[in-house]
Amino acid sequence: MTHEEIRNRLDDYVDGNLTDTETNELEVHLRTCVECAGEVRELRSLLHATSSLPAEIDPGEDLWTGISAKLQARDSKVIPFPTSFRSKDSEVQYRGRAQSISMAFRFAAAFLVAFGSFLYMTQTNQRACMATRLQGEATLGTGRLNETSVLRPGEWLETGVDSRAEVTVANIGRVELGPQTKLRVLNTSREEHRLELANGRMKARVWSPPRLFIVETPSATAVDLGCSYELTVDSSGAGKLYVTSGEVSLEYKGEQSLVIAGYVCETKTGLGPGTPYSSKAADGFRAALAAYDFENGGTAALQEILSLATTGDALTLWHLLSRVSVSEREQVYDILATVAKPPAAVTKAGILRLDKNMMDEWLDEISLVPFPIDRRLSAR
Amino acid sequence: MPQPERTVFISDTVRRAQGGDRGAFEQLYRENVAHIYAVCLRITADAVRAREMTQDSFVRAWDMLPSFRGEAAFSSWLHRLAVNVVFVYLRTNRRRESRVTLVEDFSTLEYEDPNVRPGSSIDLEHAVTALPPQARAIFVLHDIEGYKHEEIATQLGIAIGTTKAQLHRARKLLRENLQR
Repeated sequence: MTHEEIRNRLDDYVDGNLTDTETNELEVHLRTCVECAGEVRELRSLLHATSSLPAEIDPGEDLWTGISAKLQARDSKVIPFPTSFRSKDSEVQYRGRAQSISMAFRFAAAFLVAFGSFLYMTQTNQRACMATRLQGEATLGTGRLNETSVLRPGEWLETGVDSRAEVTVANIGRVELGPQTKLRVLNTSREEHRLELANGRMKARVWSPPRLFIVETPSATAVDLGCSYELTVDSSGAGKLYVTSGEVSLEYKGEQSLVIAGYVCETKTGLGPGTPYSSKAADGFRAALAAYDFENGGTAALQEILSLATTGDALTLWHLLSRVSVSEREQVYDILATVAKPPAAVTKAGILRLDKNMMDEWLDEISLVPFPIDRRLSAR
Repeated sequence: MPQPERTVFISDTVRRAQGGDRGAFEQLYRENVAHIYAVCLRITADAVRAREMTQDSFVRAWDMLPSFRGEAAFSSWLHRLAVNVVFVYLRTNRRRESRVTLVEDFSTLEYEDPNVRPGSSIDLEHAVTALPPQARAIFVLHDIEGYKHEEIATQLGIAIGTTKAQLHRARKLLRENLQR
């Protein structure tokens, strides 16, 4: 290894991440290189100081009051689904038991649910999905859903006109089903948790690493990249996704729409996902986008989109860069550059040739992610 | 990162909490809150956000209690769960200005090693706070919480090379800041 290569491995050296051979080679170098030896001393000194930091810090106020209030609110409050995707920007909230159940029965039911879940979890594994009836009647397979049941792969869970249910997806997330919703688990494993939403409405909150939680619909597949979202599928198989936090990749036959918080994306059977738009986008903008995506609106629809675009439409314009013709791309670039200044390393020439790194960097800037996200299409 | 313990043990307090006893859960909160808050505060450098994440961690812990099987100490399980909350925050958080109330928070620290001068640890805490968000998060997770690069990269959906580069950057900046 050269001096520069060794300097680049000093962190790995002090962390013990090198092989014996690499360690020996590096230590030979340290005997003669004052600069590297000094850096190793400084690194070790820093690590020693770090190890002395206290493990605990007093939060300065009692947080239990807030925690207790949140738990009690969930026990006693039903939070309905929003009537419109555009009417609610807040994160998905979980519901407690139905209001109609008496307090005593509710406590008993909660205990049974917790105890039943505990028994199940201690006897099987944590990859199981559990379905819980929240309100009204729901069916599981050919029978009725009791308070809480295991949701086995392939078994349909269906809610009725006025009913709701909740699915705990292993230990990675929760899904709440609205009325007249049909959902099943396709696969649940360490590698992925894949559901299918045939129709209806669901809200998901996921706290697993990206790409572990996947929902298939008739018109697209929603791949979680770390988020909360709401998803509906109508009787034709068309869907609508609204992301409330994080990011979702909507995929169909090798095509992809990346939907970030505050954005909506519609999907059509046989066509896949359209272009994401802000939940606050003007009606005219949305109509023009629908015409462009699903009604062969062509140049006229594109010109309408560009004329109505505002700073809130940056993600829409970013998607259009790769969806318009080569001759139209420069115009889209110019509009996007006015509503979302490109990062320093992003050039117009690079974007016009759809340079992947530059496209990704601009998207990171638009979506304001604190870390770069791996947005590759899923294998399936 | 707390290492899994071999002993399978579920305390009476945890069992009662699993059965729905809020009083028992409050006791678990009081025993663990300072540790959970420490990791949230160090990663976010934002006392308000850290308190919110600490609360979220305990609410989630209540939800997940049925899945706790005693394969690790409850404190380790809870810590892991809180770090998952932090990971979600890191993946989804929008850039924001820190609403820093760190001086008062870090000034209340108690020190485990009597040989360490309080001033030097506070200097280090403040130097960590001043790191760029990505570098700070990875430094805290790797060097303070003991997570491996592979796990940090997987949880955040980024390349191992990125976590290593950010850790190198964090250590370099810390050494520079502490030498001033």
